[in-house]
Amino acid sequence: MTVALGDEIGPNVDRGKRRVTVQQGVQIALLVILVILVAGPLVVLLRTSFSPEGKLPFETTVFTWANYGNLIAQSATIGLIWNTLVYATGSVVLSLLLAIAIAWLTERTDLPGRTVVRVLMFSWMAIPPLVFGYGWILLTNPSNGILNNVLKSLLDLDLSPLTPYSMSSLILISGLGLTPTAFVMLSGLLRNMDPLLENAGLVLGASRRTVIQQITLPLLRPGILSVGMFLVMTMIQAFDLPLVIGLTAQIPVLSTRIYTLASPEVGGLPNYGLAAAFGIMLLVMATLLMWGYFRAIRISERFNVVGGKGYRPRRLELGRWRMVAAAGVALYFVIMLLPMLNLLWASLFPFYRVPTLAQLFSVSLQAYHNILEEAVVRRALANTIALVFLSATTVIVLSLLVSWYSLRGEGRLGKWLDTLSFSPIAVPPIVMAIAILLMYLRTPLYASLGILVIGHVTVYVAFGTRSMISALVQINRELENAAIISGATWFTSLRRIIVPLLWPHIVNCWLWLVAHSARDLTFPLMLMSTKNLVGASVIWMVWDYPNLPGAAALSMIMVIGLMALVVPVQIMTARRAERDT
Amino acid sequence: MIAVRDLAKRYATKQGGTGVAAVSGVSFTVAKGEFFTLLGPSGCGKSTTLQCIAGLETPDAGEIELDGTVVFCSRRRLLVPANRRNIGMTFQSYAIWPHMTVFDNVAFPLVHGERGSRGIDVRQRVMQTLDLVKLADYADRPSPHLSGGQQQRVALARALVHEPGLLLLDEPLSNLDAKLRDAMRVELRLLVKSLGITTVFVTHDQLEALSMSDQIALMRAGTVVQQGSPADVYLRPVTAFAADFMGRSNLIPGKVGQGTNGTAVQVETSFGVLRCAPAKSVTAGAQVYVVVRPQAIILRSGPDSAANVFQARIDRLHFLGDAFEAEVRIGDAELRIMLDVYFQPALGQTLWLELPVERCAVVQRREDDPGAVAAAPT
Repeated sequence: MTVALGDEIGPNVDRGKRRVTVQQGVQIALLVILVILVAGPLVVLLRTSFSPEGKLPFETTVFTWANYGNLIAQSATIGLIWNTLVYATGSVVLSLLLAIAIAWLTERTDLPGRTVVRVLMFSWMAIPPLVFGYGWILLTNPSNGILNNVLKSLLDLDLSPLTPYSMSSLILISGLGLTPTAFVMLSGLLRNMDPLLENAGLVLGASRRTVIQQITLPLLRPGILSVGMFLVMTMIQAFDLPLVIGLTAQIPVLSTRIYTLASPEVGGLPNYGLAAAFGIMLLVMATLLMWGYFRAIRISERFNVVGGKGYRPRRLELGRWRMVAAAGVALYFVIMLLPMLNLLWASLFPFYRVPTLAQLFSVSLQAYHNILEEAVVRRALANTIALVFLSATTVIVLSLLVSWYSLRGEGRLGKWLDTLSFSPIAVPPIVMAIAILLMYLRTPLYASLGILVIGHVTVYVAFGTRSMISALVQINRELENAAIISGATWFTSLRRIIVPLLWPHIVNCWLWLVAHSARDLTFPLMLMSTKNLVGASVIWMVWDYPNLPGAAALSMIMVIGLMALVVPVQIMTARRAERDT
Repeated sequence: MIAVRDLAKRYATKQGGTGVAAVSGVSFTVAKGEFFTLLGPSGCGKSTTLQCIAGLETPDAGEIELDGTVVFCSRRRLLVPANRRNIGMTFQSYAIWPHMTVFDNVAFPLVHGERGSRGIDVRQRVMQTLDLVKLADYADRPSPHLSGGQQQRVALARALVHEPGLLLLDEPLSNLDAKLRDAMRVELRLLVKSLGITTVFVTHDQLEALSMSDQIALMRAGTVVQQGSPADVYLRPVTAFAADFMGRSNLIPGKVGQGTNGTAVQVETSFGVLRCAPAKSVTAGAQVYVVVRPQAIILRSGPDSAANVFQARIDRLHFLGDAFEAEVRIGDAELRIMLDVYFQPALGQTLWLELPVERCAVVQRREDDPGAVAAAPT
């Protein structure tokens, strides 16, 4: 033993201080990376919001409140905030109502096809909101939307009854698209509820109706409240649908206002100062909601209704209502799939034709062929693959390390890393996008694909870290200590013990990241250049061009690509869940 | 083999500040080949001490020497990391890696250890070690398919396979069921003794400590309160805590009388003067407890000329199978004694009891002492 230790002691004694270990070195590197990634852009954003008009943050030493004055003076600002709030609450209320009903049916009743419902809901992340929005525009546009045509001939109307370009349509479409997210969050809540609490009510002679009203709902209320707050926060930051529907409908919200200020129509000059001021405002709103959300979570923990293992919630037998409920759920999925089918249809003709049975025989893949002929498009698809793989993998590596230091590390540095990586959760992507734009505007990184990777890593590292911490916390520390004692280095213990044990979780998390990085439009659009076009931004460009079949074909390629990644995993997860039941 | 000097470790608290002391001023030495036990209630700092020796925790102050090499010294700011200390260790949860087979678990220190095991025939060494713990037939099993006792053996094999200079055992028996625990207790001691490896064992169970150890360090609130052989610690407790923790005992409160000299201590109790075994640092007038184990008290047929013989009355009787435990009253003091089951005692019966002088230990009375078992302040 003395021999093995000899070289270790000499230098230490001589220097009189401990050598910096690999573990400490990596931690410092992580801290630097996260400060640059997260804090850097926000500081630049704040600085820009105090810069005089037309000046970039690094060009001026003047501090002025002019942008904030301008923001307050504009009468449109009030309308903007009002629109944002109406849009966010409206779509969240709609999605919660739908999600609670469907989640309750799948988790607590004997509804047929529960597994299918779960797989469909969990797979919905493969559908980018942008694509969903385009589908609805096709379905309901006043000139040749199929739904309008059908309604006109059924009801014998002259004018189209539906339009996608209104606040109510925007809310409806966003609410429908948000429902799967709400479902995912609520189904766990309902599944883990201890049936004993309900059974106790029944045993004491209460009717089933009373039990639902007096026990089930009050128990769920804090959980539903916190999910609702989280969703409102998401929708306040939402960008895709307000962009493709809201701008045409002339319903600007905060996120789209920031976009139009930073990327004005041809001929206009960007007003970065005002955009930054709006960004700070949105950031403050999101932070307040975040704070409210964590308060709500704390309250809901008091109602902790997660029981021990080895129980299953009792399922309500629907009886003759079983088929009615199944039909209702099926109707929801039909509504969700209609716009996608319409897009599929649009992609099967070189020129858009209103769907009829007769046309069915002239379908072709010509539109796919045409659009893939374009070099720009091919490059964008290659970029997309590079973007999603790089950002998802980087996030996984960063998250794994941050969560390790956060849980296992000594001292305060680990907690700082944790806080730093989590703070982007309160930063709306559109705000982070403008902040990153301002920070890298004058660097070669701007206009490259790299800046998109930076953007996605920054906004998704919060999700990644949360997810990894929740998994790592379940791994007994002794498993790692045993490796260290066996003589393994810290890195070997991560590679041989931690990573293999977390592997299923890492794969799931990586897929989530790939899907979200691929479907995001905020960063590709805000930071768009000729060199860094990706799937989402090229679909937007082609649609705007306008080349409808091309946009439809690209949308299908993207959706099918994501489905191929997401669906098999969801089916596997659902099977495992069924087996455990 | 091991020398721990003035070890101190504080843990940060949520309120900040200097934190709470987990260990303060712990010192002891362990001789080569010795089976050494750190014993104490939960939170006494025994596990922290073990983690410091292993290198899994970094102490705030003190010095740790393993086999003549200083592995930690706060004064010289010296720290040898855990993976360079050539230690074997088993954990409370066994920490068997579920994604590996039994063989891979045991081979890990040889394959991934930093100490360099080049030139070793890994397969042969692993199989030898598995043989030692009687698990050679299980080498290719996935490790989750093992019983608790088997996992314990795998953990032991993994801790021994690289022939470490020191074996650390962190509550190795606490997760086993009672029967298996009894068997493993014997087996574990025999195994490490036959290998001659120095062992540090952590437990909260005084029975394990007494039956397995060569030396016991009894810890409380971050300090070692008593160190000695099992018999020493059990029979000659130096504090009321030690007496109480090592097993059932009667703590009779009293005051040291004037007749104290080198051969005996006189203690004035509520029922008379007790002559006790000589004790260091006991001065006349001091408030003390006299510690007498229930088994130490001898039944007499009548009043006797021997010292410390008193008349007692049986208040309560508990039949334990292998003995009667009787609660008896001498004057207004209550004592517990053990009686032969075949003796057929009866409630209210009067007995003559001798509290033999050499079996009466005197310990200082302190404010944080556990409540005296038999104190009867009326």
